[in-house]
Amino acid sequence: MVDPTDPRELYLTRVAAGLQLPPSVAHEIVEELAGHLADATETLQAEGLDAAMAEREAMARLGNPDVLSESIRLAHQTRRRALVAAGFGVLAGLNGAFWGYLFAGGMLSLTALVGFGLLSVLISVLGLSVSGWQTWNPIIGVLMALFAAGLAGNRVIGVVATRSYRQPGDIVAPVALVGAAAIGWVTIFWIRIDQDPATVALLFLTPVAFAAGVLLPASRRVGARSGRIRLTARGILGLVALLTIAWLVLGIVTLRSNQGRHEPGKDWYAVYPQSSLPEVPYATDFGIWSIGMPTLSLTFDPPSQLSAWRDLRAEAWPAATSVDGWGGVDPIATGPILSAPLVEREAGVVEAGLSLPATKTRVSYVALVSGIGPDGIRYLLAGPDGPGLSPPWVGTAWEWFTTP
Amino acid sequence: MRVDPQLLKGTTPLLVLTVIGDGELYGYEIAQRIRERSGGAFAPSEGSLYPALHRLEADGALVGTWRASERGPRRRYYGLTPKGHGLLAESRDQWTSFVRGVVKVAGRTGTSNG
Repeated sequence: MVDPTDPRELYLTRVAAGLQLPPSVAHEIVEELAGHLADATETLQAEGLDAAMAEREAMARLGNPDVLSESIRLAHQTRRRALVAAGFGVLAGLNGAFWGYLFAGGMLSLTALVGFGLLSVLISVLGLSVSGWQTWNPIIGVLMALFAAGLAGNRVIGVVATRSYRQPGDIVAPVALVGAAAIGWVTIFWIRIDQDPATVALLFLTPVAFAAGVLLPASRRVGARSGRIRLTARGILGLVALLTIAWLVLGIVTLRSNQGRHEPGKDWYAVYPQSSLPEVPYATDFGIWSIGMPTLSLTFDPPSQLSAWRDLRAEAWPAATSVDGWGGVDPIATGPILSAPLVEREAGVVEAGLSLPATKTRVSYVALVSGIGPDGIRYLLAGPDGPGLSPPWVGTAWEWFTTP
Repeated sequence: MRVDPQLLKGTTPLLVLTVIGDGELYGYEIAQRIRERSGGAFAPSEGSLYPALHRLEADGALVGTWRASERGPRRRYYGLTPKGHGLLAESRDQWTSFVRGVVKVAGRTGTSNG
């Protein structure tokens, strides 16, 4: 308890309050200044001043306590300390991102289970005829990464402020800018991965989330874990309730009716008629071996039959979408995405590979073989088989964004 | 003659390093020693002494240790590190060059008018 009648104590208390350094450091500085004041007072008394005047003169020679404390604080804010703090800040950011990712993943997955579970009960109780709902899986990944980035930012500002002996408010702007710029350079211009709209949005928003985490209100007391986000039990329960309700609402608005369901195989022959000619070649080794690179092979038995057919082609057509995922060829498609001539590999055996191009929007396709028969009509000889998916578009987020 | 305190600005680190170079001292002793060695001509503001001490310590030129004092509570004694010795020598050279330059321009040599 500070004695309000003791000028020296008041002076030293004011200095201590203005230092805003870690408690152990501030305590030693105040102790040092207290010793100085004691020595100065003693010397001035020996020179003839009375005790009160000597003490006042000693404090006056040290100067204004606010100016003194600020000068001492600035003396501790060295460049070396700032660099060391930056290094620890990077580690703190990685730590925050790791735990933030885990926490968000666990929270979102758990609440999605509960929310969609409640939705199932609701559908059952109400006797609704539905085929399913959107599960929003890409959004879960995006939200996890954004929360991780935000928590990383929050950790970074706290650690950097504490270790550099600076106030969080004094460094929040440079930390947010530098951190967001560094993360943005990595996520938008450097990382080359399979891009899609959700992933690109995530990569562009990550530096924004980091900056938001840095800008969150931070404690003004250096020396503690300033601005650290702490979740209380009530806060966690509230978050669980909020997320569960959000999943429930999202599930409700994306319920899909059982009406208008596609019949399997209904659209198969929308492209070419099936041949009714005798001794039609049969397909062997037909199928989609890998995403984007189906290889098709057709065998003519007897091999001489090959001469009766011409312009044999392997074709990739847009796939029809259906509730059960198997709808054959898209009935509104007017032509194949890609086609390649079948080349005779050995007597009576023809083969072709389809190398589909990567596009920004992944295309679901079916592969088939067609050929012109002896009667001059193009027939469907094999397939459709699939659906397959066109190759992933690999590049940076910026390349994806700027590609037409 | 009393020296204008403005002239002392920037010299505090050199003065501090010089007196500490003779042996470890604590803050009040440093201020007293500077006053004595200047013959009472000047003394750096005590308010600028401790920021200078802490800055030199943070930069690695000084090392501070707490010791029991004869005069009562413990005191923080400061001593030069190898880096501090180097900084002292460099500061002395700079100051010497500076003073020579000032004397050449403003020293009492020749006539001042015409």
